[in-house]
Amino acid sequence: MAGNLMHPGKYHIPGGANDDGIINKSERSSWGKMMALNAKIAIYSFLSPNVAIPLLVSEISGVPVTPSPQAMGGSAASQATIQTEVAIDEAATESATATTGTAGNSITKANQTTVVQNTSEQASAANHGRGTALEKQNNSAAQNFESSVEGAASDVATKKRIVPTLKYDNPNPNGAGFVKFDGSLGELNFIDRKLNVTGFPKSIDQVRRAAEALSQNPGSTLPYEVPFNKVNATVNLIRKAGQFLNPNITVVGVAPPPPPIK
Amino acid sequence: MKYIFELTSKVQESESHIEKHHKVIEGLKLISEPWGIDNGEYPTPEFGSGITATFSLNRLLKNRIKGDIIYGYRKNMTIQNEDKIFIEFNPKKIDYVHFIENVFKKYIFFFNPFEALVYNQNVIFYDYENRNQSDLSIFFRFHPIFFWDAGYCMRNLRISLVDFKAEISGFVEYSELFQNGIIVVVNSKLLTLQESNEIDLNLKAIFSKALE
Repeated sequence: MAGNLMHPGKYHIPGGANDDGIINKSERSSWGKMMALNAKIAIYSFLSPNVAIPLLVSEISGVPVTPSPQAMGGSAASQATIQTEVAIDEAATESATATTGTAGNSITKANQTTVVQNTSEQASAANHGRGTALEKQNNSAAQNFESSVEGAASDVATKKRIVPTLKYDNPNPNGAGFVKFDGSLGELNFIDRKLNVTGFPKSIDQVRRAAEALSQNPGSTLPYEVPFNKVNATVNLIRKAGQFLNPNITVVGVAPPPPPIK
Repeated sequence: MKYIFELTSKVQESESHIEKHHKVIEGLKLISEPWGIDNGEYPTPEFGSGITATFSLNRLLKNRIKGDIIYGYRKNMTIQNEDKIFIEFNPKKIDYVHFIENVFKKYIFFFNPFEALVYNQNVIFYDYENRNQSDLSIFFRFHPIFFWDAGYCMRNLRISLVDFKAEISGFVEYSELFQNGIIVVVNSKLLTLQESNEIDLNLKAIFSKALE
């Protein structure tokens, strides 16, 4: 049947409310409001990771969002979740920004992160639950390893990685109210990847901050994914950080990334 | 061969990490090389924006003994908050018997831990691989050399220190009530993972009823 369900026999032109085939200023405004409403709907879709709305995402944000090529093998559900979050962050008209280091990696200038939080979302969810952050990409071996994790995505417009965060009440008022991970499987099942594992103070603190954030978000889990030959070093690290018996933190050996093609 | 010397104490909000660090440094100054540090001024680590403050012992202890003193943030923590001394060493590069007989006790004295352990590092990896078979909320292991305070002994075995000491006599080389806890030397030799596991199994067999 030609046309659409609302107007049989007529083709619907997006934005043309009166179906005259011309989109005027008023119709553009209405379309914008409708998409803002859709953004709110998208917030609720956070609670249902299985909802896939990639088309909606690109129209809200005006920014195409692509999963990392390495992560294309991941589940469609997790990709959709990431895309939805980006949509909300991009659509937020009032945003709070913060700069921090990563939860699982050394803090460097190249690794600084901009966190975009929807203020209304923050108010309703207190300081708990999942969020997203944008992280600069430096194409290092470590970051390529992290980018290949399940649920990883990148923002084409800003050329930054989109990474999941877990919000919490940081006991130290000087610290950020979230920890950042490299990927996720579902709403609160985060993944942090480490190509190189050290027992330096920064690494110890990162593990303990992650444990604190997990503790404040019941049901959340964190496997550290490391190359097989780094499993013992990571186990030693979580022992050192006092999290050896934390059932929510695990260490998983994965295949190391292939060497770069020259 | 790598061994771990690990001491864990609960964070007391009433005692700042600065006060505790002062005690630790003064205690370390009273210990001779390679386990002690020289007289002098040492900085106090800061939390900065984190929830741990770490003081490295790497360049202060000798004979390639490496370690950290890790202080937990003092307020508003929801996880079990601990201060920890975590030292890695090669037992063949030091006088191991001297360490057991003298140094171990001195560290307990100034750090006031609820648990202090000396063990082959491979034990950690073994326990990690098998931890899914355990209830982590009640998990513990009998190490070749350990200190438990009264509370930790009660938590693990539901018996007092005096009863514990009586139960293990004849099965260990040495035990001594010390500083509201007990020092136990099950075996003062350098042990493999397998030998360490045998110690754990043998002692747990004594307390099999309490552990049911």
